[in-house]
Amino acid sequence: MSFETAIANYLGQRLPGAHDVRVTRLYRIPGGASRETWSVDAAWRDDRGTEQTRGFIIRRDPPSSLLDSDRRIEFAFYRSFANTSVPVPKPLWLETDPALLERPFFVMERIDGCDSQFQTLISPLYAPHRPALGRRMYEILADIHITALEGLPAAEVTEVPDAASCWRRELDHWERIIDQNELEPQPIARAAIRWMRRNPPPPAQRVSVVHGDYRTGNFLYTPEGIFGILDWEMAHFGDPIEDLAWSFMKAWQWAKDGKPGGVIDREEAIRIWEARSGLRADAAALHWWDVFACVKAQGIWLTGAREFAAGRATDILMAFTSYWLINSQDKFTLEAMGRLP
Amino acid sequence: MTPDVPTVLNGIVRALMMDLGPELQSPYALLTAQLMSPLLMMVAQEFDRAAARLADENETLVQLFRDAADVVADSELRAALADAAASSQPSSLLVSALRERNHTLRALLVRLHAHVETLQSAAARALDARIWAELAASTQRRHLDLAVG
Repeated sequence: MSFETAIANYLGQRLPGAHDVRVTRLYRIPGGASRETWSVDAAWRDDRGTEQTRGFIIRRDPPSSLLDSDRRIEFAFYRSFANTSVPVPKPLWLETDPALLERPFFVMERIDGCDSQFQTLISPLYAPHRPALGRRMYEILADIHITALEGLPAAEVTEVPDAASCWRRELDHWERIIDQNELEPQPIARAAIRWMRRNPPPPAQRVSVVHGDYRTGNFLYTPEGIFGILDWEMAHFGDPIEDLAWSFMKAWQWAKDGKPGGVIDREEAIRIWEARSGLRADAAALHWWDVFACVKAQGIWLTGAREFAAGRATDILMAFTSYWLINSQDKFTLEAMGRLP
Repeated sequence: MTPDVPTVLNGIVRALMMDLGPELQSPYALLTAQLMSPLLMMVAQEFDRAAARLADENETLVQLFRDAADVVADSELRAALADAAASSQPSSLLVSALRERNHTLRALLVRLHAHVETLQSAAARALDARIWAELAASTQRRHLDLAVG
């Protein structure tokens, strides 16, 4: 059975009153280092014989990936922000039965008419729109961080740490990832980890939802605004400063102009985020999380390198990030620690 | 005479970008081809320089370990540094052999750095600064023209 037919059969079971479900267009969306992302155009006849069409996004577990993340948790974070001020694609169904599409997956409604590529956002075409989009980016981040945790679907499937242990939990996790995946010794990442353990940040001022990969390239936008925050596969509960630092990391300074994501000055982003959230970006905490962001990113690149080297992954993206980013990330780490001459 | 490896890889890059790229319709296939081009250019650079880079770094680390002997307080670590410094470069110039030795030396560098951080003497502080300088130099040795930063 072809992938298209399997999807059509599946949608036929899930869409009430749908007959003769067909997949009219199917293509894999580039990127998506943790899961395969498929865009699906489906058409069917409803009970009255009227033709219906709808776009879906399928996020399917890959054979191997840059990240070993839990689809159940990612889906729960999408559910946590459906119909809130934080725009996300509407989550529809989570499927763990590999018999349906060979591997577990979940389905969301597709948001049409938007771009997600950072290349477009930093192009001259978007110059007049970047200030407003940059502002909106950090307003939404503030909204994520002040969301009450009680009753959130995500809080039912993943642990909420106490404020004092947020940093240690994340650092332990990503050190373990590096332990498991380094193909060669990593003296710079190891020095950074030792420094972080000797100089822990203050306790989180609030335990929040942390998106975990908040940056340009991971949201849907038009010149009019931001319409979907994507890629929640690393979302967790923790210190909100973690997201700020991650969004500021040099690896995402696509325009090479010192602006996070190429869209906004760091200080302006902090002002917007602080004003909207009522939280404070403590300088010492932000510095610690800046260094952490570098170590976490290195953990991701090393995982991709390991998977490619072991033959468990064939996506050329993983070889590319190995060559392109592992050494660059070491430089960013040294720079974040004030150790780059 | 056959074209050397960097020339062949750069030829593949040109074919991917000029001949194959425009024919690709699927966004995923197009991105994959777009990624392969700079990847091959980086692989070509690394192929040409890998042996020289590794030999240079290995020798630098051995010299650093020799100089560190008087500073290190831990006898087990001091012995490991002495062993590493005493052993010469492998007779083979295979990149795989040079890389294996590099991994051994860099693992020892991690141990040395962690130890030196616990020491307070002026000599230890100087050695710590030298290790940080070596770490920065190591990123310059590995720099590829297409890398960010």
